[in-house]
Amino acid sequence: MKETKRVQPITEATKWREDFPVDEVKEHFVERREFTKFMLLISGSFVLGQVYIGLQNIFRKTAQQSPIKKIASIESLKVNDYITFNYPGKGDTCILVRLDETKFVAFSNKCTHLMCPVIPKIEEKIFFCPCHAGYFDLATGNALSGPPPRGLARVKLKFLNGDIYAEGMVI
Amino acid sequence: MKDRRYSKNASTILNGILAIVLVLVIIQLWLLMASMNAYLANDFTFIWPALGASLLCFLLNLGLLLYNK
Repeated sequence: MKETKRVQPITEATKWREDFPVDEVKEHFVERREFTKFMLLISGSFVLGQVYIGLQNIFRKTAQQSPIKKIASIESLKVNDYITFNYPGKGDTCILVRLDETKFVAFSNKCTHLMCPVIPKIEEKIFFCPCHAGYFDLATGNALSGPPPRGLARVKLKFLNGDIYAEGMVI
Repeated sequence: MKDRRYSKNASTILNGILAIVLVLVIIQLWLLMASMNAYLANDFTFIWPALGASLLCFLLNLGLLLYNK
């Protein structure tokens, strides 16, 4: 007489289903929905970010005028020479360059790529950013090559009684 | 059996909705980066249209999620 294989009774098969009642399809269905809700939250936060930028734009337009600050006297700076100064705040370093007897230019010292300090190379007529090889024109501050997306912010200069004053920034 | 087939259809729909939501969120990310660049470059013309477009993307996402609820 052959030994027949014992078939599991139905009751034993359903026992583990009682212990683990989670349906796999339903479980995955809930996870994607939660992820979609999370994406909606991210989407809302991006909108809030846009609103913040818009408000900053409004406040910048209505902000007070930049202070007028003395940089140096005209005689103290030779032709093809430069000095650094802070304007408008303590942490905002700028460079004043004398191009010739009558022409002075001043720009922010921060590269527009990732705010590394730029180095003036007077003989090559450029500002050079050593971090990622960005180049700016010495006379205009325009970005010439490299990763910087725009030119250096220019400092508005005013000349009074032989002295040079900074009276605002032009982005 | 019927429930399992219905679940698969609903699952497919949710996959499609999730793909659209992801694309819209990536578009919003690009709009935010472009707005920041425009703000730093003192370009006032781009910021408000970008906000409108981002808001539209958000409303589309919201509508898709509510549609599937």
